[in-house]
Amino acid sequence: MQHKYLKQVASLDYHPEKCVGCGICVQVCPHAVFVLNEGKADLVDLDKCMECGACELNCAFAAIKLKSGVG
Amino acid sequence: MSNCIVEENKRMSLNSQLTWQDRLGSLRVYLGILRDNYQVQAGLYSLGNPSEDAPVLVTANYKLTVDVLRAALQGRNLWILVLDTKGVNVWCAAGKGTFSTQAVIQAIEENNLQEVLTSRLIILPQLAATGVAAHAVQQATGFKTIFGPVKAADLSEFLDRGNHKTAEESKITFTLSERFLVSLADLKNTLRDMLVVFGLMFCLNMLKQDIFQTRDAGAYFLAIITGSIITPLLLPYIPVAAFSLKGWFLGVVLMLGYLKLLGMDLSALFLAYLLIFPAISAYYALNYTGSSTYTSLSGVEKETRLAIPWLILSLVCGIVIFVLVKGVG
Repeated sequence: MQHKYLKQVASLDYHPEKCVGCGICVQVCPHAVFVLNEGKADLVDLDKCMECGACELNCAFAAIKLKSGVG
Repeated sequence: MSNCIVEENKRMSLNSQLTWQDRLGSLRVYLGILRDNYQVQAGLYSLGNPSEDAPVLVTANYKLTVDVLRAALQGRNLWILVLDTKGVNVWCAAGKGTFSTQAVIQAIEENNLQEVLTSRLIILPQLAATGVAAHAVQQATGFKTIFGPVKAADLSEFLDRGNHKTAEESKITFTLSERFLVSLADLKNTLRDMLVVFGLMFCLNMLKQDIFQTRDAGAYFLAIITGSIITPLLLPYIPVAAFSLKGWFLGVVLMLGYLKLLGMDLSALFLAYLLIFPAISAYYALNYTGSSTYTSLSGVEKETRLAIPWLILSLVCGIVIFVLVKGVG
């Protein structure tokens, strides 16, 4: 059974123009919010984002911004 | 210090066999006895018989974490770098700043990894990613720094695949048993609340006899268990998203069952019960967002802002009716 939380509240802000397609966000996200697609990260499931901040911290190109809570 | 650690030639080593003492210790921690200070000494450990070019796995110094890790790596030859996270697990330590970029860099330097080892590969637990920027560690130390799977149990296959993880291995779960175990972690605080309220009920009964009866205490107990344990267990099956609504909904259902069991007729007191106790269940369910593995802070803030005024209103109305009924009766 899948867990679902409130929709359209996550503060994740993604700037695809800064993405170089390294894929680290895909590797660190515990809820598969991003997938890698043709050399770029695609934000596919924003409502699954728990704002843990792992992608923001690990994106060396500052393509992701969010208001993160304590994990 | 536990017997999982053997010191030989000043180099500490870990073995993969959990003893019955380890298992008993884990059980004790789950039950909340001697929960604090269940730590392993920080530092570099060898697991099996690693060569100088074997990879380094980094972990927290919570003994349960180290136990799970070493048990998952039977037959492997690896280095394990244990960080001093003050006995806190990887995810919480990463959130609270003890499992950080700086802590990893410092541990690599303090343990002289650049000189002791010829390998240049650091594998971090994925859940450390909220505290550690892999690219920054790599830049500062020259070690290639990658994230492994969420669960230690998937490490062996990860290593066999040449340090590659599947999409599934990156996902955090929140299974029935996981939901139950973390609900127990908060139980100590919940029981303390309960004792205070029972004490208060007892004192008020001294002032005026029979304000509270056993059924009131029973309803309160049921409301708390509903919010803090039953709602977490049934979490994905209650068809609303907000935790407070999940708790309130289940609180209403179970309270109706309880009142039916008591044979209470529809009355002002019946209404008071329905206003007071589901609101309490909702509060404890809302509290459980802090233990879940999928709620966002923005979501919890929104839910709290919307729910708390209604819960207070419901509680106050219920108490006023209860007092009026008891005063007149």
